[in-house]
Amino acid sequence: MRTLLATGALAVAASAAWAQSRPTIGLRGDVFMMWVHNDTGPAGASLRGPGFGGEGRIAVNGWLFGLGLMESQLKPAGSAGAGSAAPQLDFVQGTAFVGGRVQPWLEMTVGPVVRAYVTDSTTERWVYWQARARVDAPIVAGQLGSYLEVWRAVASNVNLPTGANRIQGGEAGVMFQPPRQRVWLRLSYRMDDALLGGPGGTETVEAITLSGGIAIP
Amino acid sequence: MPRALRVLALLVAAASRLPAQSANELLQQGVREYQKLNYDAAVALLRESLVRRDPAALADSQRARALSYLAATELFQQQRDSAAAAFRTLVRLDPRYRPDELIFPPQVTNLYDEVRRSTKVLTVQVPPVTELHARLEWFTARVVTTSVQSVTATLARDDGTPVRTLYDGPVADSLSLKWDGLTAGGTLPDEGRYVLHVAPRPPLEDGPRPLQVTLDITQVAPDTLVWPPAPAGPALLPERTSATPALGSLAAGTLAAGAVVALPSLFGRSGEATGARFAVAAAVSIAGLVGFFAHQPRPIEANIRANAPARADWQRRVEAVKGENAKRRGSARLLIRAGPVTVAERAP
Repeated sequence: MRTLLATGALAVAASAAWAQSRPTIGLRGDVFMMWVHNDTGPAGASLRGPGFGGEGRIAVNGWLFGLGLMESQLKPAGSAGAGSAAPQLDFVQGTAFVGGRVQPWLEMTVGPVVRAYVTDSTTERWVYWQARARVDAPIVAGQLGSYLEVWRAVASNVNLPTGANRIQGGEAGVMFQPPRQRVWLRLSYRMDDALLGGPGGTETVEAITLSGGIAIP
Repeated sequence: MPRALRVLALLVAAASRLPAQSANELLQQGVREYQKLNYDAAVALLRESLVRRDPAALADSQRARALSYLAATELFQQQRDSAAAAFRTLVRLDPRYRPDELIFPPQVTNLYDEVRRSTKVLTVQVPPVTELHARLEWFTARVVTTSVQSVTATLARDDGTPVRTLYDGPVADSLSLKWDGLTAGGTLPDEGRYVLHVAPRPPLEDGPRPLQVTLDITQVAPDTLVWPPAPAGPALLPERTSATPALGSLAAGTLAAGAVVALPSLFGRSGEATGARFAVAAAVSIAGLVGFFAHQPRPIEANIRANAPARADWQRRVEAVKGENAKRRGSARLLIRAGPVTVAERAP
């Protein structure tokens, strides 16, 4: 419900901003391979699987608004997979954010994240507010660049008895934009670590992502 | 007999005072005896004055005077050969010297002229120090002969390397030998020791011997203009790209690749992570290398073209200064220190 409210607020803000100046829109599509390591149960579980996702963002008057989605089907990984008791599950994560580029090389955003691990019988749901900082470092101006993004949850909730502790992570990669083109490609690695309260253990999400995007002025 | 006694007395008296007497005093006494027609005494005193050595020796001008009186005295004593010998010595001492016709009668001066004509003498007179601007001023030596003869004057390095022939022709009485300070090639001579060689041509067995003078030549360097400073800084646009972007690209790639590798350790609890991330790190590193090589410093043609007029103007000013400096160096002052005139041992 809060997610919906936040998304609605973003939409209102975006529409208000639209009226002031010409916005810049960015769209991105992702394909990725995801690994999830979970030691919350009596026996740890490792799952992996391909996924896809996307993000849309709009920048106007120095403000940035965006929505993102990731989805993957995860299966037990490696030698543990065949005999493991870990069930196959679906991973879904939705993100909304608002922020701005405080320096040409620094972008800061904040927003809610909803993440769910869905099995046939249960759904583990995380909801948290996340602050993000992203540093862009051009390698060849206008064509090739690297970036590093880190985040940390400022408030979190999970529907597990242990409750949520801290959630933090980061992402780094390289981005290529052909000369005089609006499209771009990106290769990145991300890592997200969620710590449950008490002796609950951790849930770690990794992903190697190949993205393609377009900027619409 | 009284005359012989008188001479003897004079000589004894002179001998007793000899250590204390200078050659000049002997000369004066000899002249006085000559004027009193006491020729024997005069001859003795004059000869004595001529044999004195340093520091009491006669100066060349006084020596010439003594020889003139001695020759005249000998002539009046009917000793013509001795008189001719004295005049011959006088001619060799100073070919330009002339016995005073107000003092000596014609028979004396005629004998001198006769001896001078028959005595072939070659002398060279060189100023001890000469400073001159090459091309504009002259180093001058005087060549004196007692009779017409051909002379070759050459300048050579101390090792015998010819530098320039200064004169080759007849000299009737004297010649001002001039040198403008340049070699045969029209350039300034290098600093060092040179030899001015003056020789009769052709050399005769009974003729004068060739002479030489050492000349130590140094160049007095002229002030030259400083080159105009090369255009730089705000006056010119940068003509090469900076190396900073290349290093920045490499750093960006390296740091991002390092972040990919280190993310699990930085944010994960266990630090365990998939090894596949190294492939991403490698890709990011390669991107950094691509950026590094793409940003290698290279010429900026547009800026080079824009700077060309300023550079050409500077080049023109440099060429002008070069030309002026070459002109100044070409007219450098030479300092020439001459040594004594000696008989040449060998031809240059």
